[in-house]
Amino acid sequence: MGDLWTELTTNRVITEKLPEATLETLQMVGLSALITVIVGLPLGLLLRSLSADGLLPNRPVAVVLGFVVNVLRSLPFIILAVAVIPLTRAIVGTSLGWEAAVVPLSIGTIPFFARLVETAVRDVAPGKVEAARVMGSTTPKILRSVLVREALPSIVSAFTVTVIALIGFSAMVGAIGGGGLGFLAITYGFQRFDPVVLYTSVVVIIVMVTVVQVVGDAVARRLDHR
Amino acid sequence: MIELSALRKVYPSPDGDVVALDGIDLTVERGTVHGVVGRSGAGKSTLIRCLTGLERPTSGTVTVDGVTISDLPESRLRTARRKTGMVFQHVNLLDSRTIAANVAYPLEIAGVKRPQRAARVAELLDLVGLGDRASAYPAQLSGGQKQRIGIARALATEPAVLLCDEPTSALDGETTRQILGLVRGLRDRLGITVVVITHEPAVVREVCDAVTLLEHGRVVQSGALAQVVTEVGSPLSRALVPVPDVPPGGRRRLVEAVYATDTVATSAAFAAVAGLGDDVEVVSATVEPLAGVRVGRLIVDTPVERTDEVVARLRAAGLDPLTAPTATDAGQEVA
Repeated sequence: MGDLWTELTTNRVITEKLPEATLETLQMVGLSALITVIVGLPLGLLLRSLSADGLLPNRPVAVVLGFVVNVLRSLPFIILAVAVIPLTRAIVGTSLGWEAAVVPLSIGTIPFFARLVETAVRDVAPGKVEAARVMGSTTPKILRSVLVREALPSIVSAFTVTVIALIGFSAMVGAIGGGGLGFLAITYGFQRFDPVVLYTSVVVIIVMVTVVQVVGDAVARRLDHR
Repeated sequence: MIELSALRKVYPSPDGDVVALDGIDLTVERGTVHGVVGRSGAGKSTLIRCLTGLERPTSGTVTVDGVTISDLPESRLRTARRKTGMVFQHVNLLDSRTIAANVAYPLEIAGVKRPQRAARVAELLDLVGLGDRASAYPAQLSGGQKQRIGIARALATEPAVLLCDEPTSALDGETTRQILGLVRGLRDRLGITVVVITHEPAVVREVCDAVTLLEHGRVVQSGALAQVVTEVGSPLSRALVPVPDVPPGGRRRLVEAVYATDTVATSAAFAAVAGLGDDVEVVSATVEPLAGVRVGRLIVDTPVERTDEVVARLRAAGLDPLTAPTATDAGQEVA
């Protein structure tokens, strides 16, 4: 135990690189999560609304959009991350670093989150939408005050799952130069075979996942009045 | 208040068109409670959806309070809908909002300012007797309380018409009576016009002033309650004033009569067939309070050869009897 402590406090990779890598992971996950909500939430609502019993039924658009989402979801993340490198360069200017990692991370999780939102919103009783329509509500107001608001506990749970998936993906982009804890674990822990660095990185990731899950569950419970 | 004229609604389907409403003409008088009854699939729900403008008629017109709903463009329809309140079988409250916020919802849509909204909500919650539950959530209420909130919400924008789609079908008997009592009180106090869709005869008996029977998208019978129930042999009369079934047997015949007690006293009806001997007897009878009077129905069992005598006696007492076919001549002779 004393040896481990000495190792943890004297290993320069852990004392210097680990805090930096943790911050990078938090930044890339945070920004990607934000982008995922901004794009994925409306996309999920759109997917739901376009279906035959939705607010804006449109079969051709629904089929095309559904196909695009499915294609993006079927790609293994590591392949997607490599495939979007040209796009990443075009947007960020480089394919290295946490800022660059945000591009594949967002593209990877937006369709995932959108599908979860679609399912959550589909569970809102159609009668509630009908009631709002009878009261003279406009479609934007129904989307906001009925569909999103009533599904919010489920949407928060979906977001929790998405952020946890993002943390996992962020470790993967580390492998292709995205930085963060994944990069640290692979370059110092795996390639230079430093098991303490490897497992310390894993423990930090486990702590992040746990915190996200606990906070997400608490928020969902607060919002749920069913 | 409500005028339906030659209303038709056809749903196209791959296996041929489905005619949900097939030429409905109907008038609902201001300040009355009008029941619409019929089996499931008879077109009741389509009818109420046409009244809210959620469904556009294939042809014909729907006029509510002088506004022809069926002609309005969607944007004007949204405003027009605020003049009708609707109560649903499953209430459809928003679970994420408190009771007060649910009742306030239609007021938000109508653009009522916050202070006026709060005052109106308090008033409405008192009206339905749940003023103390304002900050509760729907999940904390019983089925009957939820429906009261549903009614309060429907009344928020002071509509001229209240549409109720199976409002008590998910409730138990006692709660049903309380909700119907509330609806009756609203008509009396606010002078609101109410349309109630139901499959429960008890709802019609308790609360309706007039009733319409739909079958296969057509009006089979319609009119003031007292009038339709005394139409002997009519389906609504049978449904609203039911008597225990009498199995037909042998060379005997059943004579049936319905009467309102403001024209014929029950004792007089019974007296008419009394003393005809042991082989003529009342085998089934009931008296129901209905539409402000009592409505009686009786079935007399008589040997075939004495039918005319029985009918004559009932006529003399002011009744309009109907002779049911016997088991042996069923299908050949209907009086």
